[in-house]
Amino acid sequence: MQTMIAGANVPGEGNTLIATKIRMQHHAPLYPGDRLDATAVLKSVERKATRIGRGAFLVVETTYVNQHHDVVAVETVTLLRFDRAEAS
Amino acid sequence: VRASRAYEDVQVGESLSPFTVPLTLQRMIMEAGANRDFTPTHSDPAAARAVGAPAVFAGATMVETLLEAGIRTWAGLAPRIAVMEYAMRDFTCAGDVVTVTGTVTGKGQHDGKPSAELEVWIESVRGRTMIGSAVVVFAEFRSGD
Repeated sequence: MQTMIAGANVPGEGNTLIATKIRMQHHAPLYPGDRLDATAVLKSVERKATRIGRGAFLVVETTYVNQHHDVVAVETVTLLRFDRAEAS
Repeated sequence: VRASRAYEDVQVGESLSPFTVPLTLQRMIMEAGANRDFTPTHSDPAAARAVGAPAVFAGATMVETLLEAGIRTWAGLAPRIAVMEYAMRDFTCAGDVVTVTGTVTGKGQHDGKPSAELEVWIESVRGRTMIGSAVVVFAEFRSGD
């Protein structure tokens, strides 16, 4: 969810987000009561025309850390952000 | 709950036991509610069509849930899914009857623990709509793990 919010917050055109590729790496289990921090980093932007419209592929890497500062998961998502009005 | 698969019994090249489920619109909406992902394309047919999909389509958590169900139909509940990766080839839609299956592509070590590498996919009348891979670790949890 943090990844989608980060993708939506990148300045530029495009009002619709679709996750097209995801890699989830789980490093440690989560337990009830854990507190998590998520930090999302925009790794790359590539403009491209696709069959559902013109837009850009954004790669966002989100790292999830627990209250002990252990990395519990790293999520790398390729998001297609495009303008819904251009969809045909 | 069926017994979990033993690592010694895992064979490279074997097929994963298929997991099949009808993706009804009700199921999609229940899943969106359960994970609080109210992106309209995952519950509203008109919003899904507006982005070029034929119907409401599965979001990332639904896809991961389906892939995990497929992996656990074969592996059981004890093994741990360390890595899951997938790419969208087409929309996975409400109304589709989907089957999740795959093959074992390798055995080895992941972070020093016995592991199996899998190729996994979701298929329906649309073909293979999601293709991916996973690393499953066969090790007991320890306290504080």
